[in-house]
Amino acid sequence: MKPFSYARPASREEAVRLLSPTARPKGGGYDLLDLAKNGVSTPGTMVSLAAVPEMGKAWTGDHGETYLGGRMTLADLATLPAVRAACPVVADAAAEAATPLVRATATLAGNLLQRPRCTYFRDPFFECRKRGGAACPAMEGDHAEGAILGNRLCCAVHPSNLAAALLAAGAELRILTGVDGKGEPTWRTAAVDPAFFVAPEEDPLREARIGPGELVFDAVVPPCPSSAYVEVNQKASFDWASAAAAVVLEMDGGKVARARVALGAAAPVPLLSEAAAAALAGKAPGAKAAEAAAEAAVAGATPLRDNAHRVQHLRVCVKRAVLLAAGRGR
Amino acid sequence: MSKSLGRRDFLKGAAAVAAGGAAAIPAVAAAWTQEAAPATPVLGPGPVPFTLRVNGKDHAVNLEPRATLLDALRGPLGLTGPKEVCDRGACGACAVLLDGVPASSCMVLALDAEGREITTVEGLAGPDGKPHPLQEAFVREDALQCGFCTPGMVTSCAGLLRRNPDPTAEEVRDALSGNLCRCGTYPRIVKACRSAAAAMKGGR
Repeated sequence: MKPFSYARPASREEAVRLLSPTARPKGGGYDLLDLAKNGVSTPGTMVSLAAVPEMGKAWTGDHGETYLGGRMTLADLATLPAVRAACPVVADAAAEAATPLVRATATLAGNLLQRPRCTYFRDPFFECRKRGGAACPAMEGDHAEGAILGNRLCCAVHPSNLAAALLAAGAELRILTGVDGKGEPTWRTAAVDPAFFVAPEEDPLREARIGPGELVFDAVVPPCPSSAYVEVNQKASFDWASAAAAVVLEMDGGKVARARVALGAAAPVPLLSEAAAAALAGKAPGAKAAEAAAEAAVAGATPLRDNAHRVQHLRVCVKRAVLLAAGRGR
Repeated sequence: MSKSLGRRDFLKGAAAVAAGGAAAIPAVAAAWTQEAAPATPVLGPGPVPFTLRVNGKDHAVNLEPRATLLDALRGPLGLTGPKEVCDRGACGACAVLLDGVPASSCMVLALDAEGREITTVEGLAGPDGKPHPLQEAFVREDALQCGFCTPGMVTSCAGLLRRNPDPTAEEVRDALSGNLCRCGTYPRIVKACRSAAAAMKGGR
């Protein structure tokens, strides 16, 4: 790694004060260190959030919503009973990520905002649109793990399990934007919805609408007991998803009143499939409706030369996630 | 230490002002107390002195912020039990316990491990130097071939047994899913972990 400076603020105010385009927040550091070790990017300063007290916890609000601190570890998200009960889709997504060694350290905000895992992006030898280049060598090269939707300019899939889960759950991020004249933090909120994510057509250099001086303090997740996240991998552990689906159902009696279906590892950004949600609305969430939702989710897929298998993987994920969510919270 | 470094730097500055004129002292001191703590110091990129608590002992180190915990352990501390293999947190050979929980030391900055209890495979043995029951079980069950993954395997197993003293084979496999063994010794490693659990339950 190239040399960099380091700061470990003890408060959120100090943390956000230290951030700048060259001073980046560091949770577990898995993505930051990986990018630095590969020579893709090294911030001038890493601002460790390890000592910011409130950011490592989860708590429940007055309306049943769950506040998940931005540097909560994936291990905590996966195993805390309160998280599993209130928003199983988030617990599933965290549990499916990486390995116990990674989950012990990697964090919510780090997982959400990690850069793509595409081999070409992570190796500066290659030209890559995500690094300001004019071409995507993955289109002609190795794209077996590439996107099957929204892949016209770039076929790197969005790698975050939690992005799909938070998108399906309709979560909201509370973001620290700075400190005012009295030393109090200033805030904004950002819904985790399709507008939060940035597709390559708009700006290939980033995946999320968050500024360099901003800090994801926590994610507020509405209660979603009938929810699930399912992914398909080629290996049983430590494998990036070949496809993933996060499904949240609002039930009315035995029928789906409203559904949100998010597709992960399918496109350069996580996608909210309105078509899949429409296929579930008003239906009993059984195999037939789940299959209809799966078919709707992959309609319009544009697989590349070597990744058509991922269309079927995505179908399977949507179907399984609907059936798993339907059995929960009742 | 980060805070104390900053204060020391600040006090040095205050002393210089004091030398210039006694009247400056109260003004500076008042400003310092009113604004609560001084700004968090930004350390590096050159070497930074700090302390790591490893296997129950404090060790003073002087490292650049870019040094990983694995760099610190294998370099200045001379603890070569944790191995560098993938250097990306993908293989588990560098696993150590951080406050009792297994983590890949190649993906942890040494500075981030300050103030935490770090245990390497060298620290698992008893105070009398007697091997940990897991180490005895790995030998007894012949749970290694080339041995390069073994320190990480033993460390991950130690983390598991701390939170789950009687794991099923499935739970052991799950806990070890971030540790790779290219010799393929997994069945014997699982057996050794459960054998150690049984030995420890028997009052070992």
